[in-house]
Amino acid sequence: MRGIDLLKDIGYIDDSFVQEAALDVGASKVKKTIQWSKWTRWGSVAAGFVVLCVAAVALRQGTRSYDATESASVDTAAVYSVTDSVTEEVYVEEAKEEAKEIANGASSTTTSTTTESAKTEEVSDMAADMAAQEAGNKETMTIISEYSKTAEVDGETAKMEVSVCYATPEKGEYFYFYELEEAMKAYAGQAVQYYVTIDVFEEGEQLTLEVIYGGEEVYDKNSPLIKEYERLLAEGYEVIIEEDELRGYFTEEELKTFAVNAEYGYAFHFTEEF
Amino acid sequence: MEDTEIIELYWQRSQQAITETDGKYGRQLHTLSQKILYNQEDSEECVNDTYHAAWNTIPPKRPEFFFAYLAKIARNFCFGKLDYQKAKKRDALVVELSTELENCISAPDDYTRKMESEEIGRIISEFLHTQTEQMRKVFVRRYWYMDSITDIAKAYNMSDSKVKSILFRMRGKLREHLEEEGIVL
Repeated sequence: MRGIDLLKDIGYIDDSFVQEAALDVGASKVKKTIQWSKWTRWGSVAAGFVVLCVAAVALRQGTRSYDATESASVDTAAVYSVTDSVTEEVYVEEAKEEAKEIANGASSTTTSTTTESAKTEEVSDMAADMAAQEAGNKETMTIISEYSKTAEVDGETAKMEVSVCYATPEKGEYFYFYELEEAMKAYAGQAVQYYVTIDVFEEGEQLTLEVIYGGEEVYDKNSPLIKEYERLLAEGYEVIIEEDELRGYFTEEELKTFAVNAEYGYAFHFTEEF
Repeated sequence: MEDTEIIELYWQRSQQAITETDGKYGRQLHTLSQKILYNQEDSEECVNDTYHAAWNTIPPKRPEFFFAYLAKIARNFCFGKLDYQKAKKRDALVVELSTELENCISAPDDYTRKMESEEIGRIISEFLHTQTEQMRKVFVRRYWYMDSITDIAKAYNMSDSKVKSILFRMRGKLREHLEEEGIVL
């Protein structure tokens, strides 16, 4: 087979894949754009301007309510009722379910009177609570991997897209993207961990992972980002290399007291945002 | 206008259907054609042929993914025209992409076509199903839409090197998949 034939035959893949990629490009027009550039440095950190736009996409809604006008530069005349949308993995509930199953299994040998059933229910709840407690702090933490606000516009739920221009972080400094910062405010003091990507910068340039090809693909162990990953592991952070990125699970405290390497600047953001 | 409404116009045999299709997707179809043919006039012809084909096939068809349906027709017309023009020097982009994809094939110079394009398309679809959404999109943008590495990197907020890395891996995996499916010569 020649390359040109394969190129033609790729034309026969499922329409869904073609549409999926087409939609994505269309969506990128309203999607947040992020620019790293030296000349847009505005000081130590962060967001220069924030534009909130609205895209009519269906989202599941959270529980808290805000007034969208509290955010800067809301680019619409409509009045929104805004809710948070968040992706969570709640281990407590899983632990409770597991404990209930154990308790229910153990009760199967007991009699089936109403009183005993009620007692079994009570026991299973107790077991669930105990299991949740025994699971320890980290295991029972909620993982936050995404955060966005939605708005009601003309009766439809819409996601508020945020366009932010960030400055590249200076040596020894770090900051959080808008969404992460908002999530940290919303979950302040709660038992949560944030699943984030860490962009690392040296002299304004982002560090990337170099892949060594040939037979098996491996990362270049001498690449600065791998060295930084190893340093963070040694510091006790729960970091991983995933899809060519440095990622990790951080508590609020860990994010606020992040141990920087004085040679690098860091930007933390939710993995889904990039 | 929503795709379903445009399709409904086709079903009603309203010529407004063509106008609406051109207004909504004409530019994208033209860009795609231009990438393959690298010729304004031929591209225009392919896009017009696409509209005629859509007119002749809807009804009875009612495509679930309207743009993909149109773009697939346009792409096929373009490659058909490319064959017709094969005596001429091929567009550099087509040559570049063909060369990249030859890494997916065991013996590119000893080619004897044994499978229909639809069957190979199905096998490639199977492969794409096993990939992550991000990798799949990058692959489709490169080899279906024929986007440049830089454009893909911009669209998905990645570095050029990451796009190249994803494509390199996917070509390797696709090669294995094609071999498993018996596309080895």
